[in-house]
Amino acid sequence: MLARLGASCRDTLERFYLLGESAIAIAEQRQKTSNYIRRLLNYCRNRVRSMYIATTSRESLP
Amino acid sequence: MKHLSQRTLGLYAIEATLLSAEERDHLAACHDCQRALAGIQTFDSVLREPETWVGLSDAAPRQTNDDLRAFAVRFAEEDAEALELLDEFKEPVAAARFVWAGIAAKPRFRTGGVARLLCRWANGMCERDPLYALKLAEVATQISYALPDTSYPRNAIHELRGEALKEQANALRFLGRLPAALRAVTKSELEYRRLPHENLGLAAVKYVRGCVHYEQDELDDAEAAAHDAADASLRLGLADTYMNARHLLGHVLFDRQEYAAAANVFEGILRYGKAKGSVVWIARESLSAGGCYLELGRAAEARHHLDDARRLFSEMGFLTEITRVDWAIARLMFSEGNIPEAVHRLRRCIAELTSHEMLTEAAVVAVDLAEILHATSGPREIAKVLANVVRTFMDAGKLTSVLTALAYLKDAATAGTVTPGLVAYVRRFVQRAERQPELLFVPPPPDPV
Repeated sequence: MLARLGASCRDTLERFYLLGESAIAIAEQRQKTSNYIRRLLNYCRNRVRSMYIATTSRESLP
Repeated sequence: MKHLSQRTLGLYAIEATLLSAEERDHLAACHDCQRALAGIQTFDSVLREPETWVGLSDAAPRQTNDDLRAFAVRFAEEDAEALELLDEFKEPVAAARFVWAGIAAKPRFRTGGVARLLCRWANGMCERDPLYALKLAEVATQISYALPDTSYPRNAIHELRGEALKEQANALRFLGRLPAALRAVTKSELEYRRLPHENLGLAAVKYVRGCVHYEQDELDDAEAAAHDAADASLRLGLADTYMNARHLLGHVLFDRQEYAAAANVFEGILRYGKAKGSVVWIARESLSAGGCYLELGRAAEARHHLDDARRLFSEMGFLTEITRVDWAIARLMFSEGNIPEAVHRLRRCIAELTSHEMLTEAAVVAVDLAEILHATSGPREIAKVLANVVRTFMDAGKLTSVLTALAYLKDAATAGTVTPGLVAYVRRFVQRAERQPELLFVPPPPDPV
């Protein structure tokens, strides 16, 4: 599922969740505001979560 | 208020400060929103697992996962090695040997595993032997600061330092060294705040901060910290930590004499205890709520809760808690006019607390008894009760300021100069001195003529 995300989404999620960087640090490096990064994180996480829920509910169908 | 949207909850899971006070209140009370948030947080924790990213990471694909796996293996090895290295220091009887061993200066002990194990032992040692707990936590802190930043992931080092300082703060709190405890709390919070995500340790250290402020009689600060700890626990889904923070808040309200509000808080936790089937929570909150109803003059509710608490503590064999309930029941009897039974029970409480070596609490009960005797018998009876308690303190070698305060009240009783104001003054002092042993007793200024 993560592979189906765009590069920007995947990179942001990876840096925040896997590498443990803060939204502020990501924002500084990308020259964006930290609020923008938080909204982006929320959007990207919701996308991958929706994909996950769709997959698992399909798998659980008889 | 409407339920919080998925977007709001999602942003909140990323950054806790993004919620307004009104939204936070709603979340604290709404099970549906809490469930929705827990779903998001569970998904977030999956995203933090290295396995989720296997084969996907562009930045440092295999390297990161391999590093994390290597660290996991190393941590497990360190933990096993620490158990062997420290085995001889496990019990408080080894305290002197532990201090002399000076392990923080010895390179073979300078591992994350040793620091983690010392933290765990310190945590379990606070009630048994707080001084040894402090020594363990101090050495854990020294080791955590001696670990080279390059040899561990930076977040692991901050977490370890935060934990060691938290245990230090907790031990200092149990020892009544409150200003030092507060300094350790602040340092611990600073370490935890360096982590990219709020974690369990930060919620716990906020709770310790609240306890320290409470024990210093700084009720406003204690209240703020209790709210903070409760919010943090709620965000992380730590139900018991949340309830502990609420329990602290209840005691803050009780000390402010806001008994109805305090009862409300304790009743909330009581409902949680019942829903969870936790006998300890039910007994503890029944006692606390019963104390509030006693102060509010709602005798029937007080009796109902205190009877419940007594039955449950008896079933669990919690002897000191049974005595505390009996103390409250004796005060209830006094308020209902059953003075002989109240006096009889308070005397028994003093004897039981003394046998448990809880002398300061025995002293507070003695002052309660002195108050009743002042209203019903005479100064000679008061002097007799207090003389016994004073002797117990001296026999135990506890030459503390509580002893001075009790002796002062006893002398006043002998001289026939006891007033309700003096009894209240001494009681307040004894209660404070239990939390702050370094306090010195100063006699109250004379009543204005």
